[in-house]
Amino acid sequence: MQKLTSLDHTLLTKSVIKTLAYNNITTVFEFLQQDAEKLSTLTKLNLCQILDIRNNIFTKYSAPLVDGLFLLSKSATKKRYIDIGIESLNVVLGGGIPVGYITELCGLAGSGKTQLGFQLVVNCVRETENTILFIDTKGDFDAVRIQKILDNLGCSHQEMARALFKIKIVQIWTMEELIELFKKLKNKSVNIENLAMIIIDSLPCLMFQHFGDDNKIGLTYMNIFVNYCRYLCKNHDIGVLCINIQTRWVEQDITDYIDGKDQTYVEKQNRCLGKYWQHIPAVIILIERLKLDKPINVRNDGFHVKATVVRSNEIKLEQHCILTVDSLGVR
Amino acid sequence: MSPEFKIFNATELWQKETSLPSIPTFSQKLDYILGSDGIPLGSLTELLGLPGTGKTQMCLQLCAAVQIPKALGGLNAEALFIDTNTNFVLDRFKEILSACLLKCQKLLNLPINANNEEALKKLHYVNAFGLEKFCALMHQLPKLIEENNIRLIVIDSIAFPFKEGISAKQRTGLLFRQMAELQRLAVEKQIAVVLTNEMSTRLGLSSGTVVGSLGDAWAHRCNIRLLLSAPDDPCGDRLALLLKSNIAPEAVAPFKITKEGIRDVN
Amino acid sequence: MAINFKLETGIQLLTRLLKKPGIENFYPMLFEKGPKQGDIIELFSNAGNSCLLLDIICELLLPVELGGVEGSILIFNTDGNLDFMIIVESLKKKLLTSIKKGVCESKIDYYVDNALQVALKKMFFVEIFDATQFSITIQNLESVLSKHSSISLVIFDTLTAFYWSEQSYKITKMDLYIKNLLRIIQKVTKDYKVTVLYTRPEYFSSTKEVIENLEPCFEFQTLEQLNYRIHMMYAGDATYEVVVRTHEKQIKRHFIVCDGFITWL
Repeated sequence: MQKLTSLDHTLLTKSVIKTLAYNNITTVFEFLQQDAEKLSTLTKLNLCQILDIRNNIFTKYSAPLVDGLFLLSKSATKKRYIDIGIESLNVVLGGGIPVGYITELCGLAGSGKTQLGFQLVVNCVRETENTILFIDTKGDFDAVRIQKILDNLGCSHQEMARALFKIKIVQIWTMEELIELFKKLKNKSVNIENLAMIIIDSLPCLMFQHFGDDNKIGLTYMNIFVNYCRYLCKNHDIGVLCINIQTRWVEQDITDYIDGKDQTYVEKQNRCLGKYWQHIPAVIILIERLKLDKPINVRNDGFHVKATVVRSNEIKLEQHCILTVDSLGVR
Repeated sequence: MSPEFKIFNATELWQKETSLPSIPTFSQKLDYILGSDGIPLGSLTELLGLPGTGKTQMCLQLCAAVQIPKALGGLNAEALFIDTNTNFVLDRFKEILSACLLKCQKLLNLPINANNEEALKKLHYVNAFGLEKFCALMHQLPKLIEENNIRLIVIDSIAFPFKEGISAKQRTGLLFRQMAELQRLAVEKQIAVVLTNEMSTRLGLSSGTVVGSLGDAWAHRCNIRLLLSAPDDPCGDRLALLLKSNIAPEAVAPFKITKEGIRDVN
Repeated sequence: MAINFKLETGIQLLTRLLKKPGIENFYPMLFEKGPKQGDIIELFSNAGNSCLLLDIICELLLPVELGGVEGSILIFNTDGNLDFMIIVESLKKKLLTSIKKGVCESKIDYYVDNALQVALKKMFFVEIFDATQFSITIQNLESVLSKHSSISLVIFDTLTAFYWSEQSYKITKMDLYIKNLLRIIQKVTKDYKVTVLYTRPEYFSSTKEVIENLEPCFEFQTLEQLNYRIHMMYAGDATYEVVVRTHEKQIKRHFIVCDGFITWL
């Protein structure tokens, strides 16, 4: 909650703020909740002045109202999706990674998340003006691999150089650093031209650091991060892709004991990051490795994955597509 | 927490990545499947396997390999061996180190120098038995690294300190915090980190009952995971299976362990 | 005995006295004859699907002849992922199906566009990005409602978006957090005869047990209490189950998702 400072109004001098703090009025919200007459008495400012301060606060912190027609006219020029270059996945996503929202990419270890992330990075910067920010929390980013993927697409040296330049990478090791970065992106002290998408690989690496902590500060950090994320998505017209992981747990099926039959185990997958995170992404891409008998059009070292898209803000059922992951990339 | 964020572009990182060598395992086939001709700097590489599959041997080999002179494309650097479960045997390391130095000297046409005292000093050994000691050591790592040209950190094993006295959730929290700081250091100073992990059993998983310990969340953490196995048939090859890598596809490489260390199968 | 006088402007007095269109008889599948002006409706779900909310919003915005409400709606968009374009697309679909009958082909687009314009005029959107902005905007609700006197429903999707960012050493219980917010909201909405609908994720509750243990609903508007509690859950086979609780009964309904529409069973 924003604290009351002298930046909120010229009349809020140090001594006025001190008096208010003494009376347990420290935040802008607490100031508004107080009776105007009482405030006037406390601060020795007249009623008009108090009302002026109130108005200032409302103007400064209150969110503007927009009506449906205005939104309609604005949306005509807005980009809705980021084309991710994989046709089948674009279709299942309804056009691509949505601009203005948080998307999640989730799967078990070894399901191909990082490789898909790399392919998305390459596809999004190639042949567009887009810049991508890759937030690396576990040292997975490999420029040589990115260059190889570009090479496999048949890019010329010039194209490769141009693409590589538009891929920005920053290493972030804690939630505090992530929040600091997003704060700077919001207030533009860190500025990236033509930024179209931010990829965070991976969010659990940061959030798991707060496991076992009693004071729930991890959740506070996550909420603050989500707030900044949503602001950037909506106001800077970008999409944020968060990589999440799945873990497995085994449920023992308690069935009636049948002669000679062993316990049956049911393997379940759990989407990590907790209950608060569950509904935050607008789109979730679940990636699952497939064991097909006859892999189609894939190199010896490759495999197929099933990408299932679950959208929380539309009246639509899950849809999925099959992708190929191998040394050439993901397609 | 630095006030300034260093934002690189991929070109700069590409130049950084291609300017430094990896640490060879002395098995060319294994180096090949790793995709970067050895264990890469700045990454966390995990060695998994049942007891006796060669994890510690591999670590000792890498501790010797980090000393390879620049003239042969090596790092000419030092290693830090963090021992948490007394698997380290000094005599064995001396054997592997001697063989490595001998090979280098032969390749460079240098006179054979049997004195390995200087070389031995380039392995910094620390024992960290027990969770408390381990945590204290991890905390002091930046200082330890600063004073020496260390390019390889080995933790053998990462699972052992966490076996008891800590709940699963706390273990995850602590581990992930430690790995964040460790990798921050590794990336900044371009150090290779190798961790050995043990196996445990989990009934009912479709991928098999024997898995790496420390849980599923941990399985995501390291950049590279190598599963080492010893053959049932004593005449068979040992195998290194690349389970996970950010730069190379899944593959298998055979290797053997000789008196001299890790070597290729003929 | 202290007597509290509330200063009221002329406009506020007028608004209070004038008859304002409510949302009675809206969406009878869920609300039967209600909801009454000033009612508080809670919608919670685990499915993460705001498809029901989306349908409710579209139904609200439809022209009165097609079942929509007379008044306007104000939507507080916090972390609920409501997408304006998706609302527009759903509206168009609904209008198309209704208008198709008895209108010649060439004129359909014209009628749909017109109806869409009318519908969108009834919608006001507020994007909220942090706790301070949330609290201050709610505090400012009074001036908003007096300026746009046609607003008869305020939707919060979700109400609980900033909970964690406001917790520090002392943690407020989730139920109490909601009640505190409702108290501030109700102060204004009661006077302005505005109905409130808010959503929350299913886990957001101080009771970790069965739904039945949640507090009961009230018949009349009571501070910090609900009049409708709606629970939506996925029931398997592309079917969703909705349970609506009021002070006097509990209704169970089912719907399926088909072709981008909700079809009640």
